[in-house]
Amino acid sequence: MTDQSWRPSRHGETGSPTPRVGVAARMRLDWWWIAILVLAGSFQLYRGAPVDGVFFLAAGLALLADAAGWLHALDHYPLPRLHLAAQITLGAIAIAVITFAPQFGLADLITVAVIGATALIVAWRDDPLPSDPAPNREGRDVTLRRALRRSAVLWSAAGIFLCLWELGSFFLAMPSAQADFDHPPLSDLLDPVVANPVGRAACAALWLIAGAAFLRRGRRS
Amino acid sequence: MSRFITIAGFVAVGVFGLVLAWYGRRAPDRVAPFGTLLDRVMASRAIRITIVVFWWWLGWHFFVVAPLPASS
Repeated sequence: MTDQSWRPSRHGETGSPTPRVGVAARMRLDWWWIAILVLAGSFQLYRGAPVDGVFFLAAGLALLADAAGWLHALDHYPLPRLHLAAQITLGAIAIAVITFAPQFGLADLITVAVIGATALIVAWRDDPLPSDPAPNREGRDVTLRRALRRSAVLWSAAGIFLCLWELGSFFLAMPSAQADFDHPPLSDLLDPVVANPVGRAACAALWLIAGAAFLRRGRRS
Repeated sequence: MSRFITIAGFVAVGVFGLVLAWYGRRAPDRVAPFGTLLDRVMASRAIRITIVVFWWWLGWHFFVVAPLPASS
């Protein structure tokens, strides 16, 4: 099953330019995600992290412009293919820099910025969907759709609970140092792990593996 | 006690995620595996960019930005 409803044509069904239909369809599907990015960006501004806020808001604006069809020229572009061994080597170098360079220094900033820019360039490009081995089995499609819906609901519930719990801890921790100890946000719990070089290496490796996994999902190559 | 409850909430989400991942692999017809779900949702550029931005921000937050001092 190649469920194209996840990715409506920007030019309508026939491929001819019908921007109004395309924009409406895209906005119906994308507005949730744009709203999540804008909310996250606004919260970062509120908590006194303007740079973080700008990242989220810029991503939201880019998606808004894309839904409006203004970034049509950036739909497809060539990406150099990098052998797996080269990817692993570059990942190991990044982990080494994050682990051994002075924490929160310029080397960390450059490494994380380059990784982020690369990930966004790769993620922005639309690739063909992976082919399904049995596209026309209706019963299988219904079962799969139900299983996907259940999975989406359960994972979303976990994500929303985590966000609300973190948000609650953030606000409850605000009044005093004692309140901060009583209601530690997740960042406060993980910071000691990241402060340790071994923990930092493990977290960096986990972060890079997760990013690579995200970028490989939902695409043929 | 409040600290214990707060930490327990985070641990509970982690355990729930692990159970969900395990159950998805054990009974894919009831709950689709996380990878299958990702394959579907990551086909949308908006979802892909949102997830990648949040993922990247975690790295930025923990590796680049020094933690703010606790409230006094």
